[in-house]
Amino acid sequence: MPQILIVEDDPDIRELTAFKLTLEGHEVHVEADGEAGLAAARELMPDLIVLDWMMPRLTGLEVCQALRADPATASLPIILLTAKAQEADIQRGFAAGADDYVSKPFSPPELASRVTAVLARAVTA
Amino acid sequence: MSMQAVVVPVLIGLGLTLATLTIVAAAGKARRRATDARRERRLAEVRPSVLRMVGAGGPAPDAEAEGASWAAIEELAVSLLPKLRGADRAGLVELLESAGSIERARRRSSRPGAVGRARALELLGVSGVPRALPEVARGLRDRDPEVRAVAARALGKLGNPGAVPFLLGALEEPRPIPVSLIGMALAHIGPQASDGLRVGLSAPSPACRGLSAELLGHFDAVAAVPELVALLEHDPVLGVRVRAADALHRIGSPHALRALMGCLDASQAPPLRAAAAQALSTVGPGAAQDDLLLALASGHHSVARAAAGTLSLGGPGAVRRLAAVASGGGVGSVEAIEALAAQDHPEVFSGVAA
Repeated sequence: MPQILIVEDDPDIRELTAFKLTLEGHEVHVEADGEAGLAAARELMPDLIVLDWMMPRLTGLEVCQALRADPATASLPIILLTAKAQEADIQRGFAAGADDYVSKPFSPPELASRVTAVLARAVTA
Repeated sequence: MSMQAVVVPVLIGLGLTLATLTIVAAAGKARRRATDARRERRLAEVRPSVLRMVGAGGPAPDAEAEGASWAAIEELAVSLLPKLRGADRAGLVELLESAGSIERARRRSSRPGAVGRARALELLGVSGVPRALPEVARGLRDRDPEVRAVAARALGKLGNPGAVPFLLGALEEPRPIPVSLIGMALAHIGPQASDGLRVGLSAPSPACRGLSAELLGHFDAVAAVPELVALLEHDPVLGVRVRAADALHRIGSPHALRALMGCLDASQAPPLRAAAAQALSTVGPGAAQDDLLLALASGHHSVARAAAGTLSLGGPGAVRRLAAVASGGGVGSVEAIEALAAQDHPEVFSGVAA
């Protein structure tokens, strides 16, 4: 069962995403801020991380960069889930190392499909 | 009567009053805490059923069965709706419709009690239900400034282009709403607001004309270029003309070339000349070289800087002429050197430095 780490400070989105991905057959772990998310990523080494951008303590972008800079976590698949939807933001997200980008407001089924697709690509790679 | 006989009862009275006030305040605080705790408890109770419905397409929570918890379901739905799109969002709106929440909110939006009116408008806004437009628009003229602000945001969330005249009209109402709030609401509606904004370009209020121009630029409204050009050339308010130039900069239509070149003239105000010089960078940087060189030599830093920046994008000929100004060391040379460096013309720049 693939393990997904969700790092999101909005409780509604965190719970809804966790609920949806659990139903899809994933094992889900949640954290509410960037610092705790980074620690959990290093400890759990999940199969994929769903990462919010604007969070307290460490932003999702900083978490993404920190994970990519560490050889142990550099290849963890990351999906940014964020309200920052400008073209320049999306470019920054990918430049920081995100594998995919979902902008809020979001569709939980679409997010679940993207999780499946990114996981499949990670396995193939 | 001794002094003591007067002072002691007064002190006792004051003490009793103070004690009573303290008790009343503490009781109020405790009541608020209890209300909040009850609300949180209800939210926690209903959350699984709402999430089940949204996340798994489960059955909708039953308004009758949930009884007093329906208010919590409604609150959770209002909180979730702006974060969702697609079928899950539609399901939540359907839930509110089937429970009569939308109709209740339409009625509540004009009742006494500012908090209730604001909540009703917020619900109507996030629901995106088109028939709520009249009630939400009426909220823009509410006597309470917070309700007016909620109404503006709600109109943006409704996403209905029919809201544009109401939002722009609010800028001319005696009860004001901050322009920034109106702007955000219109931006939320998106490019489909463009037709209404084009009408706003001829409104009596300069704030309305300026905001309309700015947003049309953001929406890349090519169809609005003729009106924006007219605004640029003829508006009596300098700030509005500058915003029209900025909008044309964003859109980048060559149809604005002649009007923008006219705004570079020395008789025009420096802010307009600077905005026009910058706008030419997307409209036709190579076509206005002579006028831009004159602007570069104007002695106004902002005008010269914008002119130099545009010339640096105008192709080899314009860059050579800019480099000549840079190497001349006269008026405009600083801005020319800056622009050449910023555009990474190493061959020209090293020649200047040498």
